[in-house]
Amino acid sequence: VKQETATKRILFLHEREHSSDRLKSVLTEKGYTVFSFVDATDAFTAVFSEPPDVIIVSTGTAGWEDFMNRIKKDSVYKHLPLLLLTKEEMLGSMMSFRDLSCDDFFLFPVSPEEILLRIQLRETNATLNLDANPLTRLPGNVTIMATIQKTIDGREEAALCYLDLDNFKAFNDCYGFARGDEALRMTGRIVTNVVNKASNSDGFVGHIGGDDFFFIVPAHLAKQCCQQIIENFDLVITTLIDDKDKDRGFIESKDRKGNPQRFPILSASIAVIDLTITTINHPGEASAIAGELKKAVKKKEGSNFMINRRKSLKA
Amino acid sequence: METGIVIDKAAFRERVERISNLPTLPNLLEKFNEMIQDPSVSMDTLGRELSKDQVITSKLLKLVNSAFYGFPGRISTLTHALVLLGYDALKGLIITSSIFENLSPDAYPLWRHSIAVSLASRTIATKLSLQDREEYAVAGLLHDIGKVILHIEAPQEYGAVINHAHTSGQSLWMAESEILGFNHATIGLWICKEWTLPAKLATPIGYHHIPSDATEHTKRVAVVSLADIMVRGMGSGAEDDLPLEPADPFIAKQIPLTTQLLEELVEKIEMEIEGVTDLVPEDVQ
Repeated sequence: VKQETATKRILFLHEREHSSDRLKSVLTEKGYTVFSFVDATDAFTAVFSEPPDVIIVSTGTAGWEDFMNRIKKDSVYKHLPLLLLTKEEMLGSMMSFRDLSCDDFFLFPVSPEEILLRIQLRETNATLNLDANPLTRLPGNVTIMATIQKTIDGREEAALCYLDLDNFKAFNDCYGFARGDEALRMTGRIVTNVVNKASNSDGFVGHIGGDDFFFIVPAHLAKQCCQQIIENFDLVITTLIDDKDKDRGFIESKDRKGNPQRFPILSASIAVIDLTITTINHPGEASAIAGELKKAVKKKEGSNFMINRRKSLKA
Repeated sequence: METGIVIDKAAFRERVERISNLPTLPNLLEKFNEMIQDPSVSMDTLGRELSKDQVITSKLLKLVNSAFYGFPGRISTLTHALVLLGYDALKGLIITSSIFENLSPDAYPLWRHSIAVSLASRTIATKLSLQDREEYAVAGLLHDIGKVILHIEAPQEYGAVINHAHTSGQSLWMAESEILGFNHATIGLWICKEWTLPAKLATPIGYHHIPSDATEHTKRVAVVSLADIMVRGMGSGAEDDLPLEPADPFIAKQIPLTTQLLEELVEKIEMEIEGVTDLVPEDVQ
């Protein structure tokens, strides 16, 4: 994970006669390093040797369109924010913006301050979009790790909570992936609503992936939040269970060897690390403790949560 | 036609499907607004109160069953909707709700009737030991949502249809069918489909007057239909003094009705209705 203080690299492709001095000085002052190019091929090589954080392309440069399309068709580099610098009289001759693969554009003349603001906006959006889980739209691992680190560093009186679903594979096998996705969306909504209401939107909810979720709440609210989440989960999940399975109290699916087996109705387990009890130095420690807790909490039937009582990983 | 009312069915259906915001009664909206401003009011209390307003309930169900939230055709109770939508969405929905303007006085008893049928549906489901009683209550609450739409979208024509029902001495839905070529149950079905509400709500709403036409969720249809007939028989119809059509024999096939059961139900439902008489205040009438 990149430190926030590290210099952001901006690749600027522009025509020879266009001076980038003023833009450079404003951006450098704000902690950016600007690499300017007047040749599209050189710029392209630079992208691959030392990938920048943001790309700005002036439409007055020879070969700008080809440069842009090559970047945006590359599966690794296409997520880089690419901003077009163009002139109003060129807008008519340009193809429709629906076909253009840039992320934003500005019209020349433009103040370096505006460019700076738009770069920052694009950076934030790019991080969020790339990291967000497409199913639940919740932030993913990059944001989760950064948030845990920030919480640890700030010595906040918070609780790190790891939630996952029990027997989710059997549920998916029995009802299909579409309904599995619904279960995950429901879980995301339930956790978000409880956390937001309890912590006055001060908490955090992320989706690690699959049926693994993560949330942070103020330590003194952890128990109450977990109870509410479990109550809401058990209430709403019944809408995804067929009537006949609800009546008999189990679903039927196959075990690893393909033999038919009964599985309990979907439930949720939460492992809680209260940072006022347990000392954590690194996000990895948190997930290790959560893993241990999960084993214990999953031994119990139905939806449950457990708060860690040990002072540290080794103790 | 002697009444001179013409509504093009296809065009009206399109209009119904475009409806995005149904207004509700001013007094109710004011009450809900006060409740959401008050931090001491719990989600449960709020949910219980909201579940007595057909318009707010239908809007919450529309939102949670929309593609945006990703549960189309899944959620059929207010409690589930509130858990999934959260307090902020609920607040937004209530704050942006509008009130009825120029609502014909004919429509006021409709709210009382809807609450009464909701309570009666729940009572019958409980008496028959059926599961998911809240769903029966919601279906009962929303069974006449088509009438709300007619009051808003075609107030003049609907006023004339109501008059025609009175002068010709027939049930309102029959007068609707005769003059408009469709009735409020059909409209309820349209809006349920458009809003992707679950079939277990849409079917009882769409078939509460002709239960035997329903091909699924027949028990639910029978319960709501019976609740509607009983409540009207007990004098809490949406339009007083309009005649009651004979009950569809289909209901008796779905529900083992005995004189004793009916008597018990009447007693229980009367008590339930009495408990909520102040909900739609007299002064709106």
